[in-house]
Amino acid sequence: MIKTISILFVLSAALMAGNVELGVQSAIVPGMGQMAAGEGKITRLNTAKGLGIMAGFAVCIHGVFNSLSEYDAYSEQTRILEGKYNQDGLLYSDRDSLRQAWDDAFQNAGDAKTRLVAFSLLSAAVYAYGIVDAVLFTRPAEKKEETSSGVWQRSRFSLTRKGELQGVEVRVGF
Amino acid sequence: MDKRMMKIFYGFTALLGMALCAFAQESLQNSLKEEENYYNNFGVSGYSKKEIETKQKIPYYDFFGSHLVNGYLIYGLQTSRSNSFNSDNDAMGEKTDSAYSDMFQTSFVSENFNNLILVKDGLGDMKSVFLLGSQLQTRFSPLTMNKLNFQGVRWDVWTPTLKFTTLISRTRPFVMSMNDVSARAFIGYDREDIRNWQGVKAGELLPDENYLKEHVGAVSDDFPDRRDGWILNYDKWSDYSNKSIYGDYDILWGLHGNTNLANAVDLGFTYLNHHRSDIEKGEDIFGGNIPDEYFPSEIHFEFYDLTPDISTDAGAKIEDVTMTINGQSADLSTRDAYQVREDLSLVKSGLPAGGMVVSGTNKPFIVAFNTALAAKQLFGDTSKVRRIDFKFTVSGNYIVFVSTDKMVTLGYSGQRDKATNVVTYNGAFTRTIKGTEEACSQAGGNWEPFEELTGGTSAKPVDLERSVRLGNSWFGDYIARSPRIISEQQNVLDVYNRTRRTYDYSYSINSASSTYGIDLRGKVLGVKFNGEVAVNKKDYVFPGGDELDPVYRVGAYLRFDRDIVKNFLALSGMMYNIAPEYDPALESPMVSQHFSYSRLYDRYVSTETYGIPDYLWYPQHFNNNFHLLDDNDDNDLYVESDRIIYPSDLGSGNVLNRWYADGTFSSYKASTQGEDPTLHKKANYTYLPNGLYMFYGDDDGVYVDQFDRNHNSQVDYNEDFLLYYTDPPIFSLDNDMDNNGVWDVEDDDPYPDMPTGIKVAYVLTANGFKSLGIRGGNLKLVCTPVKTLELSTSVMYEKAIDLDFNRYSDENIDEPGFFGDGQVGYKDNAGNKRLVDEDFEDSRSLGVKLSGKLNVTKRSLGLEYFLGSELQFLRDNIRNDCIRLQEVEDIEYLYVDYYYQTDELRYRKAGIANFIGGLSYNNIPNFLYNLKLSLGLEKRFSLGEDKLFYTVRTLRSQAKDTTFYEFGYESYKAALLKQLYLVNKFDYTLSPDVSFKGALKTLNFINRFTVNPQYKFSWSYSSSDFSEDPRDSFDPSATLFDSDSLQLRLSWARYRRDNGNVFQSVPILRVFFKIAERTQFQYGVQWKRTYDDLIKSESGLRRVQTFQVHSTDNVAGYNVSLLMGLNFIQNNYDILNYDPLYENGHLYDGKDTRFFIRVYAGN
Repeated sequence: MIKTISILFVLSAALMAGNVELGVQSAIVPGMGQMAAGEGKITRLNTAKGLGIMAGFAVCIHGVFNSLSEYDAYSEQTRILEGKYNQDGLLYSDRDSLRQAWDDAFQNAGDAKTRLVAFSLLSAAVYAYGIVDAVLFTRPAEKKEETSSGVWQRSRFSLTRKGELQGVEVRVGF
Repeated sequence: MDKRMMKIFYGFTALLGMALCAFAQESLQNSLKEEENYYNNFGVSGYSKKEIETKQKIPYYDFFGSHLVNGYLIYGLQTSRSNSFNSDNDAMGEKTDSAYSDMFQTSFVSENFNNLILVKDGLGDMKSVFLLGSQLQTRFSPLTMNKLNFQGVRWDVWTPTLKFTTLISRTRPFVMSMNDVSARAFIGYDREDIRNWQGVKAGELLPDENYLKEHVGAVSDDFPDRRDGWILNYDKWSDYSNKSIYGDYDILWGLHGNTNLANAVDLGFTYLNHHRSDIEKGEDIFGGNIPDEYFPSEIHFEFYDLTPDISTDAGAKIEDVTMTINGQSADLSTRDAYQVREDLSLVKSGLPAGGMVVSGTNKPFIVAFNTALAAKQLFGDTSKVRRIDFKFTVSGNYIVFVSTDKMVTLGYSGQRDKATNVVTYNGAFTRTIKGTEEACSQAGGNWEPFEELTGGTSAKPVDLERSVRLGNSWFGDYIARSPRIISEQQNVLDVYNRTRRTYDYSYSINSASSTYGIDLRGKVLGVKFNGEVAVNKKDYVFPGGDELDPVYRVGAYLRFDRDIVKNFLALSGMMYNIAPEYDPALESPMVSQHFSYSRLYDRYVSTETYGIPDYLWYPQHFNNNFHLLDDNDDNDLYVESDRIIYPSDLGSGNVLNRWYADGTFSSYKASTQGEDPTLHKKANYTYLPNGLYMFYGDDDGVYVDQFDRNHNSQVDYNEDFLLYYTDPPIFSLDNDMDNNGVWDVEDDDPYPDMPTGIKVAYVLTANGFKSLGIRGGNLKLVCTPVKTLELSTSVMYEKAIDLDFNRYSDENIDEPGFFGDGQVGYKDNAGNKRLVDEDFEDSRSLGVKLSGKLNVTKRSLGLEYFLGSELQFLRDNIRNDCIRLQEVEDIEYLYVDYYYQTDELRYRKAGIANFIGGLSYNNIPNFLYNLKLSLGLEKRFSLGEDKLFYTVRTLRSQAKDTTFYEFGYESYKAALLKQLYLVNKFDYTLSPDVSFKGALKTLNFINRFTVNPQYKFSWSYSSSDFSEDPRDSFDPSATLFDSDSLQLRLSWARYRRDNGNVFQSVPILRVFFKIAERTQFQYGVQWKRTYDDLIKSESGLRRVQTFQVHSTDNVAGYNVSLLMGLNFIQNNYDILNYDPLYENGHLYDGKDTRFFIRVYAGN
């Protein structure tokens, strides 16, 4: 119980201490918070980082659908082949080739499932990392003047020093 | 060798070398001189075209002797008529001695004036413009003239108070005939003209071998058909486009004026006259006329079952058909009746006293009258016939077509003696009811013997092969139809007994169509309005006989719009009434459903090869493809639902230039040179549910720019790379205004355009439509409480006016309601008139709609979002069929196909709720994020299991590129459909801006790169409880008969239409490198992953890579753009599992490589 409370406390402290707006943006599209912090300029590290997270997430999620689709397709293939295999009156050679095809499909389905799990975990990891990084480790670009067309307003909970945007040092003990 | 000798040797060698060099230089100079004779470098001298003068300039003078110009006569349109009369004897009347009507245009007009001669002038406040040529957009008013590419002469006069236009044109196609390589084409006759075709030597009826060789690229031996019998009929190189063999021609003339009254109302008036004339009688500019040769020696009625696929319901029962000539009854011996046997043979059957029933078949029952024989019996000869009238009694579900022996595909009748090659010319071609027989059988006024129906006979129809090969089309009109389809399957005899109707019909041909119109627009008492009233008068003539009573048809509409509370509440609305078959143009005949090329096949025999029917191959009587109201729903340069005869026949070199001047498709002509014509089927035509074809003219479909920015007839949201930028119209409200289940973006009605907001009700007949007219109105209240929010409510009600096609019957039998309920009349067995209430489901529609939309832009946050919702209650009972384009996805999108989408009336009684929302966020420089969501519910309410509707469904299999039409009775079942569509996408544009110095300076080239990664994810889901997935209950071990397979396929198609679950994940990467200021190297790669949860075998990965170099420059005043590159496309389906039963899946993966160079020039 204490552990849970501690974790929750730490998380809330981190949230309060971090840049929530960037976190929200990264929750909508991973990497968006970082890009906002870098003002979309590729020469800034934050933008490059955001772009990397975004690309990584896109690749992972694409991988998820790729492997999900393949897993589904090959699983169905095994069912179809099973049905054919169980039909009466087949020659041994037909059965043999069906069995081989079934083996291939089964193997492919298994591989696809592995990829599916891997890409799902990776997607979740990239997604989570995008948020955590945006909240805790991303410092918005320094601005000399606030303009009306500027970025999102910073949260009133931000612990960054006004005008200097030095970031936050968070010390947590477990 | 000593030094001296060495010196001498070197000296000699040097001398020799110098001499050789001098010689060589001389030779080179000579050679250069010579070369200059051949070669010119225009970089130094500049280039100018050599003038080639081939024509002699002639000094031209006007009628007063004033010199006009030294030049050429390039265009002319003239008619002349010489009459003689006896001033001492009025009774003798006038006689036409000679007449001609002539129009010509030389290639000068197209080559030197770009098809448009424009003569402008002005003095003071008055200005005048003459326009001559083609591609003249001519729009007078929505109900009178709305022509995309008018071809003729137009004169516009303008003053500050009056705008005025007159125009005149011949309306048969067309000026530049590609058959005539002399580039000089005529549309004309004079009395000496034997109505010959072009390119034929005088006095000959056949093209000689040289002509064939030069113009067709073949000799007659290549065409075995040309050697025997009907050698001139249906000859593909004959050009009847400019003239009719009977000597009739069309002229359109008219005027339109526009003025302003009291600075409040713009008032316009229009008069149009479109008429036919007979060259022998001379020009009649108001009433027109037709050649006496159109006198029909036969008139036939074809009676069809309106529900040919169902044999358990009532078919068409024909009880009596009688004819009177000049009011005198014809002897029944001049009438005969025929059935069409399975082998398509006509079998004489007679018309039994108790009537004849034709049911469960699409073959007609034919009743034919030998009018020539009847006239001979009654009056001694046919010249005394003034009019011919008919009465016929029918019941059940029927549709009736009438035609004559003259209304067949135009042609000459002639025989060539094979030994001497002498051709005996028999005159214009006619066909007796036997139709496919070789000989002209009507000469003696006697019936040809017909095949008698005897038990067990298996004789083939006479010369079926010939009719298949050469065509056999009959033209006429659909003159009667059951006002409603009776679904009753029990006690069918009773249905016949209580649905009898007797129709009157007088045979005639439309000779003139005059339209008077007034249009107005303005603002009075704060009400903005615009509207129009037009009256069309059609004159009808019996060939060589009386003029019949003209028929008047009215088209009218009024729109209004008023602010009730300014900027807060506004009311708008519209009232309209379009009479059935309202059309300002001359009538065009329709084709018989049976006697047409394609109809000789059965539509269910899919293994048969179809060809383009001959009525589409060849010009036909009076069908000039000239509508005064064009069908151009997307308002582009091309008419839809028609053959393109303009502007593509003008030799412009346009890729769309596929039609010859006579409207025939060029590849068909080419294809007959020893090839199989059916290989060239991919013309723009649509296969209709009745088995016939209709041409489709607009290559890029009806998509507006927003959905097809590259005008390639593929919607961008389905297209590689472009799919990122465009989303389906599901994210908009009221995107199916006519409630036919097709997004308006993809919906093209095949009917000439009516004023915006009016869609007439129409019925598909053969290759055309019969309009049922429309009457209705709508009201809309719009409230704008804040600038960003619009709330609206609207109500719409409309009804079709005429349900039975027959203009004589409406008052005699029916009691039509003006706006609400009318009554449909029948006569019972005893001849008593019975009236049955007109059902709402017969002909009417009602819609009530509520909607709201919020559009917000927060510039400071870089945020835009919208929310919208609509609720609709619909009772839609008016069919709005349409033509759709569909990309057939092979490896790449290889082609676009057209298909006819029937309106299943899914919303006979339904509630629809849709919610849409979306946001785009662009506050981060170079980055854009977009999210859209659409949620929808469709609830259909039951109308009761006992109420059956005859429904035609289009079932489209994209996998096999086939279209199937399902006909049948079905009840309107309660059902609920849920749907969701989600799009999530983002992109980033990376344009480096670095500045290296010193040794790293060369790295600055990376500033020339632009990298643009994009990602789009979409999810489309729909689910309905209307039907079950047939795959779930399918037993793979069961033995399937054809009918079982068909039913399974149909069930699957129905299920698939309403159910789906498809995910798409599409990463795209574009990289551009600037080679020079206006030259870029571009690379793009797209991986489109499709995951179809419903049909796993449709899932796959499509990878497309494009490399291209793009360069632009200004050349000779044109912006020239050059594209050169490569495409690599790879389609890899997850599994190759083609299911022949459900037609899902694929047999192969594939990859495709394409190299391309394209150059565009523009302004």
